[in-house]
Amino acid sequence: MMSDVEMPSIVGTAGAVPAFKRQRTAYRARSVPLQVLVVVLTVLFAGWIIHNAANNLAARHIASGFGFLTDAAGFAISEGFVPYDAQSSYLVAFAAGAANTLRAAVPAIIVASLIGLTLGVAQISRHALLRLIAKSVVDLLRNIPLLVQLLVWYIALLEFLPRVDSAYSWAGVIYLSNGGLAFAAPVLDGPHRIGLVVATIALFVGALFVPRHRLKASAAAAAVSAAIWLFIPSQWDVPQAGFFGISGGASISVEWLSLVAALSLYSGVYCAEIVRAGLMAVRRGQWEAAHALNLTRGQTLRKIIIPQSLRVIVPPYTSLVMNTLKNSSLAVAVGYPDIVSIGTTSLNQTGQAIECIAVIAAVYLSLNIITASIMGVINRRAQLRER
Amino acid sequence: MPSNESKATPLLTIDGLHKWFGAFHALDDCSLSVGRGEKIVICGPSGSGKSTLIRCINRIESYDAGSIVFNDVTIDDSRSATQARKGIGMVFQQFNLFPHLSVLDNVILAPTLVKKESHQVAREQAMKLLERVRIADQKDKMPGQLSGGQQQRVAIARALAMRPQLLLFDEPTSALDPEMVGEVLDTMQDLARDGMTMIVVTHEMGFARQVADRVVFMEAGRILEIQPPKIFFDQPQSERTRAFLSKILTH
Amino acid sequence: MAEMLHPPMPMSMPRRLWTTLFSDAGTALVSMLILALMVYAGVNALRWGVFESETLGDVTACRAAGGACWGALVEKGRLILLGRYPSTEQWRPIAGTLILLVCLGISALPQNFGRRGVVLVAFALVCFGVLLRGGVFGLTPVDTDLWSGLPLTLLLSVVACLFGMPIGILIALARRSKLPVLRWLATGYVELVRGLPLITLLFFGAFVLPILLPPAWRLDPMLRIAVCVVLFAAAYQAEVVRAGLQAIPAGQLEAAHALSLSKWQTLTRIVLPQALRTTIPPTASLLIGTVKDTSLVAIVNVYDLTGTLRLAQGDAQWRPYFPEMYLMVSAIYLAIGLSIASYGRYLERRYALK
Repeated sequence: MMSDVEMPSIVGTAGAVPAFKRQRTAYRARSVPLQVLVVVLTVLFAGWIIHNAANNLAARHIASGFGFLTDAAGFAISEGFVPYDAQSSYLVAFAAGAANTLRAAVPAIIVASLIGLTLGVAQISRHALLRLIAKSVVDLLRNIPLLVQLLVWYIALLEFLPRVDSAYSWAGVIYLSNGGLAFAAPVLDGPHRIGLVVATIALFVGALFVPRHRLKASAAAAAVSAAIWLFIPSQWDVPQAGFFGISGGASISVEWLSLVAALSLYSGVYCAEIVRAGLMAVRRGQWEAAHALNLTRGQTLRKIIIPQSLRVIVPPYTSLVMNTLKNSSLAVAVGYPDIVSIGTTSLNQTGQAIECIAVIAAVYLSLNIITASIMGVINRRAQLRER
Repeated sequence: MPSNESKATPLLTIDGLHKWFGAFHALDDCSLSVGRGEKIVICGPSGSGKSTLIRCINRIESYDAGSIVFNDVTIDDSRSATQARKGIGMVFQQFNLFPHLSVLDNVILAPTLVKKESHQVAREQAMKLLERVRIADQKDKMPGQLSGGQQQRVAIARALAMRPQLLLFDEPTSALDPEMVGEVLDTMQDLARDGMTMIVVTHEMGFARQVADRVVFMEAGRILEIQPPKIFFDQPQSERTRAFLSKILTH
Repeated sequence: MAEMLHPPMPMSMPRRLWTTLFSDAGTALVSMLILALMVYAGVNALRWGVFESETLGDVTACRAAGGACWGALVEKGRLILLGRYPSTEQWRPIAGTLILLVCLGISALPQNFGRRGVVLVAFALVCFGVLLRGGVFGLTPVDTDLWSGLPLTLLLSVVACLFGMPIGILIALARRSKLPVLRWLATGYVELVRGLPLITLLFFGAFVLPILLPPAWRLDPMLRIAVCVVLFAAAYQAEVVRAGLQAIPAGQLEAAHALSLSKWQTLTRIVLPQALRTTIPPTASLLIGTVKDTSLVAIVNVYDLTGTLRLAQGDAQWRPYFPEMYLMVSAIYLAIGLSIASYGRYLERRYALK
């Protein structure tokens, strides 16, 4: 039974497609009502919730909407970059909170990455005892809730550091007590400050474009910018230990210190696991090939293994960065004024629960999107390196 | 060997089948009829649509036009396809055994779930089949512990457990190490001898010559030639077939 | 060349240790340094924790002692473990916790997987609820806001895992559904919840949820917290299961299809068993994460193990002995985490696909 080769064009014409059509309509017929049902149920559910909310808000005499954002917040925020006082609006308060979230999370992410790299490499070290210690630290810290660790840091700093009136001091420019860390800071007027910030950023961006020696260039940029920050300002604001505690200078609170310490360690051990998994994902043959070329272990790690493991490390590292951002919300437990802390304070003052939670959610979702896009660029570079 | 009578009422009739993958014309007006007890071998260069054709028969792949009639029932909607599939067994290139089930459980699964056979009955039947493919002693092992050839024989037993009237083989020996090809082909030959209707996509020309009643040659989605093996191998009709055979038979 | 007729004798344990630690000068130096540090730390820990410690529950005695004040645990241990539950009724949370633990242990044995295990855990939860809530069988009623300490941590963890897992599986299936509407809803839910810190969800449960429900529904605050923890865990579980579903080769579905298995049979007999097996390690980490996450309820004034720890810290005269209390609580979390991890490894070995 030979099939004569016929015109292929019958597909798509009316006569030849009944099987095809019937198949498709059977699929549609089953799925369309189901989907409509899902949509209707979702809409009904949403409507029911909105109805309830309207009733409840009316009963409590709360006007919904974001109008309150321009009202004066009235509460104090103990620390942060954003200029804020009690007369500032809720909008400024939220901005200060979001900035404070970054002020804690970004240093924590940097320190966590360094801890992770160290512990991760230590876990594949050839020193058995070093491996043992690294593994124990990772297992211990991973199994204790971050909140417990944060509270330990907070209470430990409060209990073990001296009281403000007998603060440790170093050369009269740095004071450490359970009131926080106070240190001398350069006094800079507006244009001066902007100039230095721009110069520093320019140095680092420039360093990233130095081919091949990017790491060395970055280190040089750091050194140069440290030097200009130290020597250019003509005047320094030096903290003074006085009768009522320490005044003047720049200061870092105990809350910030404990939050950053706890976050750094907690994220650090997770980062260690990511680094270890990444290093182990590089095929054994790569170690053997490097060994055959008489490279030392350190050279092999730096030049062969780590560059290849980046491909595996970057995606989970991205979620680690996002998790650290989210985990910084535990700040509220020690009273550090991050976005959640400011949001819930505003919530208690205004009763605008839906709006305040929405603002917090919006801040985190935008931070996530920003993180994802930055890490996306890094990820593409890490992937390209392989080829 | 098929009798004249059974050839008169084919078990399976494929008529004018067309399939497109996007703009790629994977099957171009394929027609084939298979009598009860008949053994068909489909061969052709890779990408010619052999696998697609047999995957359309039990509706793992949908098709865009044409018809397939199995056992006098037109397979046109999902109900008739489900009905027909119960009479059609399939053996895959990659075995596709269920890795989380033991060898025995792989064979028992479909009879108990689909045919609602009792566990006892299904088990006895499965043991007979495993003996038939000479692997009964491995019944409690997991698929991952078996060699490729053994896995493929289990897959044949699994397909037989549904008592199919038609067995489809999609390149059953292509994923095997060379030393294991023989044991699988032997098993298939035994089945053929017992009168099973089979459609086999394969590159094993020795098998085709010995077992097939007819050999189908496909290229670029079209069926170019259907011949008894003697004619197919000794006096192929089309130029393409000759070129194909000369490529694979010179080794 | 000398002939070697026998394989070399395997090295003895001390010999092997010796060669790994002191194989060459550099390694030996590092090993010595680390050993010295470990000995120093060990001696100090012993001095603090054992030789110079005080076990009397008395502040003046503790102040006199140079080391740890285990007396703080004698004094505060009960508060940390059982929290604010009325002191005369504390046998009830203890009994409830024991029943819960025993039933969990029994249902964790592979031969009890399936209906029997689920029924057993459900039974344990009901017992737990009846014992702690009271009001029947002559038990004095106790409000849920007095439930606290370790029993509450365990309850929240078990509830989160028990309900979070099936909901997560459903969401993961919805995310892979052919119906776009279901897919969008599931994806939106997972991405939203995973994008937010748990604490935001807990505040949502505490402040926003009551606004969204009819005023007549006075949801128990503890129930609201539990719902939030469950919904949070479900979103993460959904991601884990989705990865497991994606790892199943198409050939498995084709084989099931060729054997005429129905969609439901394919899902329950072929797809889920394999997907759940490949997701055992991430699920174990997820469960550990969930137990740790329950500590966050302490921030919304629910006194779980972490909450009662803060409560114990409220007593100023015992506050200097916080390391002892934190050690105790950390040890409990550590024990829970390590047992889940080793159970996960056991399951992984038992159900390995190769």
